[in-house]
Formats: sequence, structure tokens, C-alpha cells
Amino acid sequence: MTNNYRLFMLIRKTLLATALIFSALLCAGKSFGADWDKIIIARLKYSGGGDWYVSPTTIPNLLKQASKRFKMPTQQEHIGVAVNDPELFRYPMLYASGHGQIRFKDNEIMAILTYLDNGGFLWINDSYGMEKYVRREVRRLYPDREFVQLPKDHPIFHTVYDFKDGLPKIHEHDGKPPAAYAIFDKGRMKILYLLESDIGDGLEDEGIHKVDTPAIREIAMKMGLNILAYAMMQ
Amino acid sequence: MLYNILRFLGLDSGSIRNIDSISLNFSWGWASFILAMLVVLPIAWFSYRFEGKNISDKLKRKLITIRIIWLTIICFLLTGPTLIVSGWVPLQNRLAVMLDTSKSMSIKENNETRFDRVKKLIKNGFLKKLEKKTGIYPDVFAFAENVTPISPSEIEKFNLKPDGNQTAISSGIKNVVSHLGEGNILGLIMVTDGVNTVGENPQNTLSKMRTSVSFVTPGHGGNITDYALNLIKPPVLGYLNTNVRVRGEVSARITGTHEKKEKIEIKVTREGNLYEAIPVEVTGNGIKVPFSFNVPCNEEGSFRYELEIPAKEGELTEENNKTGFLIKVVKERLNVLALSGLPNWDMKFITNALSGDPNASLTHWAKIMDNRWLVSKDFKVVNGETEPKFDEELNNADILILNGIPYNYIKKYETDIIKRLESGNLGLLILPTWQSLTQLGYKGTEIGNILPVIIDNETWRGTPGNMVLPSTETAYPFLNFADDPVENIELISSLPKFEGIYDYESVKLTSEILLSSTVTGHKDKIPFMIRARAGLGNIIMINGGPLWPIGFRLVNSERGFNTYAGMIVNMLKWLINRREDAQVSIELANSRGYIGTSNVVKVWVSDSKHKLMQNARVVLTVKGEKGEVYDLVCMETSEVGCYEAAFIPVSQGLHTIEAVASYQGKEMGRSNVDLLVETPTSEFDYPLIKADVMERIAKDTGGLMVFDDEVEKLIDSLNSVPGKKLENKSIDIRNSWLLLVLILLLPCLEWYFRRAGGLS
Repeated sequence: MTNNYRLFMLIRKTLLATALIFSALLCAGKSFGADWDKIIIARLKYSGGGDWYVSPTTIPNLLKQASKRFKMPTQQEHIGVAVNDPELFRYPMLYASGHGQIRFKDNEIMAILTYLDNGGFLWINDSYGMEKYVRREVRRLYPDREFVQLPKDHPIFHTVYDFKDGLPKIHEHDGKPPAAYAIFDKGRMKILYLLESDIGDGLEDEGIHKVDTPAIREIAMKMGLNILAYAMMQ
Repeated sequence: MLYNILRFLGLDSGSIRNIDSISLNFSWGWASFILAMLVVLPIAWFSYRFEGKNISDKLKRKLITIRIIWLTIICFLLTGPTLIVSGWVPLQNRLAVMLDTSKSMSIKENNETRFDRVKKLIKNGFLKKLEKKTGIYPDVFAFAENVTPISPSEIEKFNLKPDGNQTAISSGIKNVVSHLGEGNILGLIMVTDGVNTVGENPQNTLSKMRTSVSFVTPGHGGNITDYALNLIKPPVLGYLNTNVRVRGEVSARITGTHEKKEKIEIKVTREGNLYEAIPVEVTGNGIKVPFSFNVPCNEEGSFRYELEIPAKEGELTEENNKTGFLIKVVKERLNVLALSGLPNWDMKFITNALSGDPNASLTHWAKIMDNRWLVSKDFKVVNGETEPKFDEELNNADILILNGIPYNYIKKYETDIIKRLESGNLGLLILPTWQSLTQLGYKGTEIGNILPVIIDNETWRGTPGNMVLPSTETAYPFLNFADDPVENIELISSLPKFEGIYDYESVKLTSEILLSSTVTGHKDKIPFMIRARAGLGNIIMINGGPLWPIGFRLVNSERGFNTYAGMIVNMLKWLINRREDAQVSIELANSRGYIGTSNVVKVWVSDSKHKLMQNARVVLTVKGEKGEVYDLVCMETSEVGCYEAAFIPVSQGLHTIEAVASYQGKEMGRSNVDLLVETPTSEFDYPLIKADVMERIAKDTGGLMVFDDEVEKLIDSLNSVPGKKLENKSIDIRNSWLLLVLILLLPCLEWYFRRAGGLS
């Protein structure tokens, strides 16, 4: 038995070594692609007291699926970045979520405006109770502009996956219908604000929100991927 | 005496004529000679002791003497004898006088030009005084952009004129010094105003010279009145329905009126008709006042703009009171089709950059899944599609961007792409992605073969690096972010770093590296941006990335200029608006030239299938504004299909250059281009005498700077006795003809005596 086991191990090691050498020979002289420019979505560390860090698995799960379904190179990490952090400009897409107050300090207003004007995109997912604060802060950013509600036929609902009824409802908050609002500048969407939908919760790990069935989580994932694709294409 | 003896013996002591001492040396030392003699002489002695026949003692002594002498000479030569000759050679026996014949010497002081004063100096016997003091008659040279030796008879007539368009002091001095030999020059005297317009800064390059450089300045400066008008990088190309900003400077230099302000008007004419009058306020201290105006490009064609300021009485020169430029307005063609293998940030930021240009339109297809493509049309995302068709969009596209799209998706359009590219109707931009070109399937394909690199050993180097502009002056306007070339280089090298770069086996010989990088590859620094031609079309390939941080992290500059958007939009415009003619096209570096300055004209010739042609005959006909005609034959260059000639204008005004290409007697086509020739006015940009610069150079080199009315001081300072130095020379004695004769003669003599004595 012992001898047979040793023989088995020897054959296995030999085969493994042969396979490794063979693979190395196959790869020699071949061209390799680049391990670079991975898609990262950072979470916005805002002030005001709201829990910016809520649902830490949302973005990693979204990027994991982007990598799996689209074969996109992604970095599936929960990364937080403050508005005044110079690292802000490493992330062309930001995600902000939480419950309660969001507030930008006076000196952060210019930084976030520069970020958005230079091509950055901010996705705000209202987990609950953010509406009045979001509207107030957006008015501080763009006093001459109002949120535009996105209609059902807006491309963001039809880029990769079709949502004929527009924004899907993932979590019930106040019994209101889900709504997607956006701030546009020269035709480009700069801020997307999702209300009464909570796509972010639906993207979290299985079991965190027991009401989120696999079917609901799949809908949230599809909508999340639509938002990512839209942000990258515009 | 010794010199003559050595010469008689066939030994050359070179420049040493007064031989002080001579010594004999052996390559292997004296010992070797003695040792050789100790071996050879006894053998010779004994060999005669066994002579077969009876021989008289007298003959024996004679024969032994001859043989010993012969063997001694042979031993002597074998040990490498050399004569070390030591003697005095004359030093610093040449004196150079350089006369500045550039245009700045025509500046007047008290109704007398600087050059008139030079003439007076020479007529007053300056050269003879120098000869009297030093015993050396000076070698005289005239210099401006080049150096010309002047013979004594030419000096006597003095027909020189100050008509040189440029002054190159450094290269002038270097040429004269190398011509005469630095060690031989007692001194170099320049008669100049010190205005240097081209070449290296003389203050930096001449400070370490061993030859003393002295200056004679013709006059003390004089009263100067001069207005100058100058354009800063005038535009060459304009796009239809846009405005081009033209910038320039105007200055006034009027002695004695330093702070006094004066209003003048710049008259701008377009095709001879008044276009705009720009009022400017200048002061007499030479400070340049900037001005600018817009040129609307509302119709296609070439348009000549001329600018003029009024001349003032007694002005130094009126040639710098006018200038002009030629602008070619072309139809804006910027329909961009981008095909991406996946959505990515690079394309997103290129989209953002293009969206700022009102004439640009972009269609972007990105494959997201096997049966799903995302689409953005006119900068707006539209609903995704399952089966894209690019036919129509490709036909309308001026630029095609390939951004990681697998080859099999464009395979069926490949022939069409190549055809449109070679006919000059399409420009191609290749962006790097996380998949290599080999992985995307381009290796060995038609598209793969026209790329600027050979797609072999494609390696990704994940080393962050910076972009580097390989030359100070780039011919590509989209890489010019700053007016100053040095500032431009610094700006490019300070752009956000890229994460990595693809390294290829080699860049094709016909390709051109537009931007290099700081990352070292398997051979050298890896090129970041390369350009290649495919027929009449252009291809730009970017090897490193990502590019988007440049667009994202850089905020707009104070001048309201977005570096990234400028580079992207202008690069794409350049890609398509390059060629103008189907089979023959002319490439001229600038639409503005100067009298006396060479303009390189490149002509590209292709056949009816748009394949670049070799062995064609290309003739240029240049017609000037005054009716003068010149014919030039182009030479074939190392680039396939490219023929080149240099045209040096001799008159100002608009010149039309027509290129006619023929192959085996059959005309292939012709093309025209305009060149606006102006008189160079750089000689008058700094009309003051640069006494401080000359004084510093003179001090650094051990010379003297004097004004022309105090040349005696300079003459006195010259060392009247030419120097001399002790020099040694090693002479190989084996070169002596006398020794050769002896070696041949002695055996003959022995043979004669032996024969006479009955021995053989």
C-alpha cells in the first residue's frame, strides 16, 4: 500500500513537472497581454455623519460579476476615498451610499466639481433617508441645474440588459416607486441618483439581506452592470 | 647641417629643422645589439677558419671585414634602431583677422555704417600695423553664416558688403582655428558688433579656448531707430468654419526715448485687401508688446495675410516692418469611428475630449458580451445592439480607432480599411489594451503588416514611465503644447505616468517615433507613440498607457488650454488632413521660408493603386512672384516613394512649387504647394553692440576688447615675437636608403673578391 502510494505520488509529480515544462515551452515566444488599467470603483468618504461605509461587499460583487460576465479586468476591492484626497483622480467612477446626512465641506465643493467636469462620474445609491441631503448638496454643486428624472426608455436601462419598466425596485423603503435622477452637463451624465430602489443592497453578499432572493439579487446585479457600462461608454 | 645630413640619409625629421641633439635608441635596448654581435661574430670568424681552399691572409682579412660589417649592419637593424631627434620648432606663426559681414554691420552711427568703419580701419593700415608688430601678415576671413578666406588683393580692393543674413560667431571662430591649427595661432582678432543670431552661444562655447580671441568693435552703438514686427509660430493650417488665433510681437528701439510711449498701427491685409488695423502702444526701449487677432476660416483654399507697421524716418531697416503668413483652410473632416473590444476609460476620455470640438462626431462600438455591443453615437449612449454593422459608418469615417477589437470582428472590412487608408481617405489610430495585438489576432494579417512595428516578441512591460519628446523641435503640431521648445519637452515629460508599455521586436525602418518613453526595452528606450504611412494614409500607434489619467488628472491651464483634449483632437485632425493629392503629394515643413535658408521639399509618389513608387523621376518647378523660375530635380530617399530636394530662395514673396512625377517617361501626376518667402530680420532683432559679451569672451580667452578708435591698444598687447617649442621626433633608421644599399652592396663585394681570388 505504502509502495503503491509512493509510486502514485512519483507518477503524479512527474506528470505535473512535465505539464509545467510543456506549458512553459508553449508559452515561450508567445505574446502576453497586460495586467493593467483594472476597473476600480471607489466609495466616496463623505462628511455629514451618514454611514458612507455601508454595504462593503456591494462594489466588489459588482466588479466580480463585470469580470465574470464581460471579461473586464477589474480590481474587486472595497476602496474608500475622501473628496480632498489627491487619489480621487485615480478613480473615474465613484459610488456613494448610506443612510442619513451627506455633506460636502466648502473646500470640497471645488474638488468634486473639478472631478466631475474633468470626466468623473458619481453614482449615489440612497439606502434610506439621504434624499433631502443629496438634493441640498447637488444644489450647492450646481445651483443653476435641477435633477432630471430618467424616463423608462433612457439608454441606462437598456445598454446591456433591458429593463422595460425602467429602474427596478430591490428594497421597499417608503412604499414609493423607484426613481432615477441625473445631472447632465453638455449631454454627459455627471451624477446619477437612485431613490427608492437600493440597488446597492441587492448587490451585497447572499444572506446579508434575507429578503433579497437570488432573483432579486440578479436584477440588482444586471442594473448595476448597466450603470457601469453606461458610465464607461458616455 | 644635421638636418641636411639626415635628409641625405633619407631620414625625415619633420618640422624640426634646428636640431639641438640626436640620440640613438634600440627597441630592445643596447644589450640586445651586443648580445646579437656576441653570437654572430664568433660564428663568422670560425666559418672562415674552415675555408676549403688555400687563401692569402690579405684576402682572408678583406673577406672577414666585409662579412663582419654586413653582419653588424644586419644585427643593428634587427634590434630596431631609432634616432631621437630633438629641436626647436616655431610656434604661433599665424594671426587671424575675421571681418563680420552680416547685415547688422550695416547699422549706422553718425551717418556711417559699422561696416564703413571696418573699411576705414583696414584702409588705415590695421593689417600692416599688425604685421609690423608681430612679423606675421594676418590671414583675413569674412564671416556671417559661413566663413570665407579673403586674399590680400581682395583686401586691397575691399569689395565686401554686409549682406549676410545670419551671424554664427562660435562656428566661425571654430572653423578658422581648425583651419589654421590651434597651436599655430598667435591670436584671433574679430572685427564685429557681437550680434550672434545662430548656432551656439559664443559666451558658453568659446570661454575654454586656448587661442586668445580679441575683438575690435566698429563704433560705440550709435543712434538707433527701429520698429520690428514679428509673428510667433504663424498658423499653417485652418479648419473650415473655425477661427485661428494669430499672435505676434511689436517693438520699438529708439535711442534716447526709453520710456516715451508711442502709438502705432499694425495694418493686416488679406489677399491684398485691408482686413484689420490693430493699434499698439510701444516704448522706445525695445520691449516687445504682444498683439493677436483672429483669422476666420470660412472658405476653403490658401490665403495670404500680410502685416505691416509704418516706417519711421531714418529707420535702421524697414525689412522687419512687415511680415506675413500663408494659411491653408481645409474642410473639417473629423468623423471618428472607434471599435473597442471592451468599454474602457481610455475611450471614455477620448470621447470627452472630442465632444469639446463642435466639428467632431464619434461613433463608438464596444463589445461587452458575445451577443451584445454597446453603442455611443454623437457622444450619446444609445441602446445596445446584438449584431453591429460597421459598413456605412466605416465609409463615412475619417478616422478609425482600433481599441482592443479582436481581428475577427473587422476581418470582413479589412480590404476596405486598407484601400481607404492607402488612398488617404482614412487615418488609423491604434490604442493599447490589456490584450496584445497577437492575442487579438492581428499577427500576419494585412492590417498587422501595415502597422509601424513588427508584431514579434510582443512583451508587456508593466513599468510606469513618462513620455519623452525625442527632439527639441517636433514637426507635429499636436505635440506642441508650449511655444518654447524646452518648456514643451518638460511639459510632455511631466504628464501623468503611464502604467506600462508594449515592447516589440522592432520598429519598422520607415516608421517615425513621435514620442519615446523612459522605459528600457530589450534594445533601447521603448517608443510610446509611433507613426507610419500606408500609401497616402497615416497610422499612429500608441504602445503605452493608460492615457486617460492625462485627461482626467490635468486641469485646464491658465490659458484655458486643455493639454489632453488639444493633443487628442489635433492628432486626429492631423491624421486625416495630411495628404492632398491622389498620386503625387508635396510635404513642406513650413509654408513660410526665408531668403538664403534651405527649405526641404519632400514629394511622395504612388501609382494608381496607391502603392508608393521607387525609381520615379520628380522635378520641381519653383515660380517666384517676380516671374523667376527655377527647376530642381529631386533625389530618391531611403523611404520608399519619397523624393527630396532643397530649395534656397533668393527673393522674397509668394513662390509656387509644382512637383511633376514621371515613371519610364509617363507622367504619374503633379501637385502644387505655396511657400511665402520673407527676408530674415533676425540680424536687426538686437541692434545694439554687444560689448559686454565680447569683453567677457576676450577676458576668458586671454584676449582684449577694444573699440575701433583704440586699436593701438590691441596691437600693443600682442606678443611681437612668435614663440617656439622644443619638439622630439623618433626616426626609424631602417627607413634609410643608405643602409639598404650597404646591405645589398656588401654581399656583392664579397662575391667579387671571392671570384677574383679564385674561390668561387
